[in-house]
Amino acid sequence: MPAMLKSLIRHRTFLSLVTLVVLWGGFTAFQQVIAPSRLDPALRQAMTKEETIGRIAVDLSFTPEDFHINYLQQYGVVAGVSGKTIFLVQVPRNEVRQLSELYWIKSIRLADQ
Amino acid sequence: MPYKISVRGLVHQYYNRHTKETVLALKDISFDVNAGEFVTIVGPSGCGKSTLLSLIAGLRKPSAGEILVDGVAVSGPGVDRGMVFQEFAILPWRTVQQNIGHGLEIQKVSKEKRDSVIARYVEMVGLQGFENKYPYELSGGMKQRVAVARTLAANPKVVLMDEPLAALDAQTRVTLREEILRISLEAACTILFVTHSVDEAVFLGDRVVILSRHPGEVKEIVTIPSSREERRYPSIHENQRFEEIKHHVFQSIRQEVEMADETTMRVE
Amino acid sequence: MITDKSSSRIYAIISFSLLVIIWWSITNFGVISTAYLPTPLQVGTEFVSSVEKGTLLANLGISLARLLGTYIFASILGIAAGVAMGLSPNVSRFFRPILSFFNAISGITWIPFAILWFGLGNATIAFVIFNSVFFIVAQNTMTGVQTVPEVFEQAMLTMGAGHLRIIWEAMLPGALPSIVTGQRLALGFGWRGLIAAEMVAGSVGIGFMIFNGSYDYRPDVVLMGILVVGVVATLLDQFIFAPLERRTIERWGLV
Ligand SMILES: Nc1ncnc2c1ncn2[C@@H]1O[C@H](COP(=O)(O)OP(=O)(O)OP(=O)(O)O)[C@@H](O)[C@H]1O
Ligand SMILES: [Mg+2]
Repeated sequence: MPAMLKSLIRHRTFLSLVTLVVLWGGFTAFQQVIAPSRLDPALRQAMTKEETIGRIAVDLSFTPEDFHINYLQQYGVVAGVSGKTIFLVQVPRNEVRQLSELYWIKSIRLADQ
Repeated sequence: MPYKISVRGLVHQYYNRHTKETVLALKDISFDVNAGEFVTIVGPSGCGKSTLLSLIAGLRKPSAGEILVDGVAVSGPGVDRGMVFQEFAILPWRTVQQNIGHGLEIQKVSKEKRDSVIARYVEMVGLQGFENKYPYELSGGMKQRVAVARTLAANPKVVLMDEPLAALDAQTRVTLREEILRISLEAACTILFVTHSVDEAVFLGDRVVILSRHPGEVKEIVTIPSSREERRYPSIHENQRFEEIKHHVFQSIRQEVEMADETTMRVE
Repeated sequence: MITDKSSSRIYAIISFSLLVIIWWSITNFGVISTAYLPTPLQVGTEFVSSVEKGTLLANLGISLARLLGTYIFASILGIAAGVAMGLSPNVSRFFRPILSFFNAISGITWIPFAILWFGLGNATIAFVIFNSVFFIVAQNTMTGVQTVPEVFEQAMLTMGAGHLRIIWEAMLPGALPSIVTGQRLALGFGWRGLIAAEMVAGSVGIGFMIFNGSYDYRPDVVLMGILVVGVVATLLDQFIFAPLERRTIERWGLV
């Protein structure tokens, strides 16, 4: 059935699916590029020295809902929520990096203990 | 020298699972075919011609009797016996050339070899320019030509053809008859050819087997005196002997058809 | 053909626009309080903000991943079972009654039973999707294989083909239109099963998002979720399966 596959690949539907995947890939790549700018300098400094960050503050541009708190729970222990900020403790630095790639997070700071 | 094909006391009964009835399609058929011979088979509709070919092809098991090919009993289908089906049976998802090359593909013939054989048969059946078309884009006659080409391309020793020219226009039919005659002489294969056309049966065959009305029996076997090399259209129609034989075969079948009609009338 | 297609598109646009206009008038002029039925604008705003907050895409992504994983798994098993049944009259006589019986039970009926077995969570959701997909796929595949004309098999036999080859080159392509129809139905059933199961047994996913919206008294979230469910299902069906189905049938002239 190679002829069928070939015609399938040229098909409009298939092409729009590919476009969708490419767009999504581009978006995530862009998030990875701008990820470091979401981390404040003090946190970046700390991440070069320590494996695990003791306490970070994750700022959102909106009031967090259950969804966001549950979501961040995957990365560390949620120590509290204040306004538009969620506090996490004991977050491995790899996971801080992953967090910084989420497009709905505004910034991540090193928080006082 | 043993016969190429020997049919001995062949009986075939169909069993209908839904009505729980048995239908006797063939009742005691016997005849022999020599190697390289062209035998045509005629008979009223429903007398069991297709059944006979499918038994020789090994697609069904006879209820009684046996079929020998080169002295060996047929136990199933094999590449030594190719068949052109009444329903064409070419695959709708294969293009013309993929269909024609299918048998060779199954026999694992190399692509280059295959392509050259395909090209030869495409030309022979006059389908140049349609190589990459799918069957639904072809007329009934073109499909039938694909079916013929597919069977011949696989180069079987015995070719079983079930009304292969039925769906063609008169002109193409005449051309293909001559073509089949030529191939039969060239390829040195043995051919069993079912047809509804008396003209075709007499033109093509070394012998014509006339089957009786349902259930089928061999009514008569007519030997055609002239050799196949000599036959051409339209000069054949000027041959007095040819016309006489045609007339005889025609009468013989008509008798069967009329008697069949009478019996059905009486039953109803 | 082209005018046919574009005119049906125009009708689709008109009928949906009318629906939105009616919805807008009812809600805007207070025929129904927005506490029960939010305005189109409120729903649109909620859509934008839930994209910004990441909730919609994350929930949708999780739902689609659940659907796709189980759907593919159940389809492969369903096709294999369908081919086996289609090829052997005995196997099909044995299994067909069971198949029709299970097909009569819609996938969501299994939710309570699944919860008894697997508790709340992914396993239950997967079980429900599996049940919504497997039986319908098997049934359609079987029917497809059974309707492949016998002469195709006979022709391949006389050309010396073995059984695997006949399945691959005659049975499966011959059954393909019916298989594609089955896959299309199954995706629709699977999606409905998924949403229902997430409402009862999920803690994330688009179904859960809708259900949770009603606990939070957020009719805008609920309605937005429902519309997204409808749009995604329609896109999957109209842009993947409908062309695929049309294509396999048209291409080979199998109508
Ligand atoms: N699969 C089947 N099951 C039951 N009966 C069958 C089956 N195939 C054929 N028959 C019956 O067997 C008899 C012979 O059929 P067959 O197809 O061999 O006839 P035929 O000579 O080829 O006819 P035609 O010239 O119309 O093609 C008919 O009476 C038919 O009804
Ligand atoms: Mg017949």
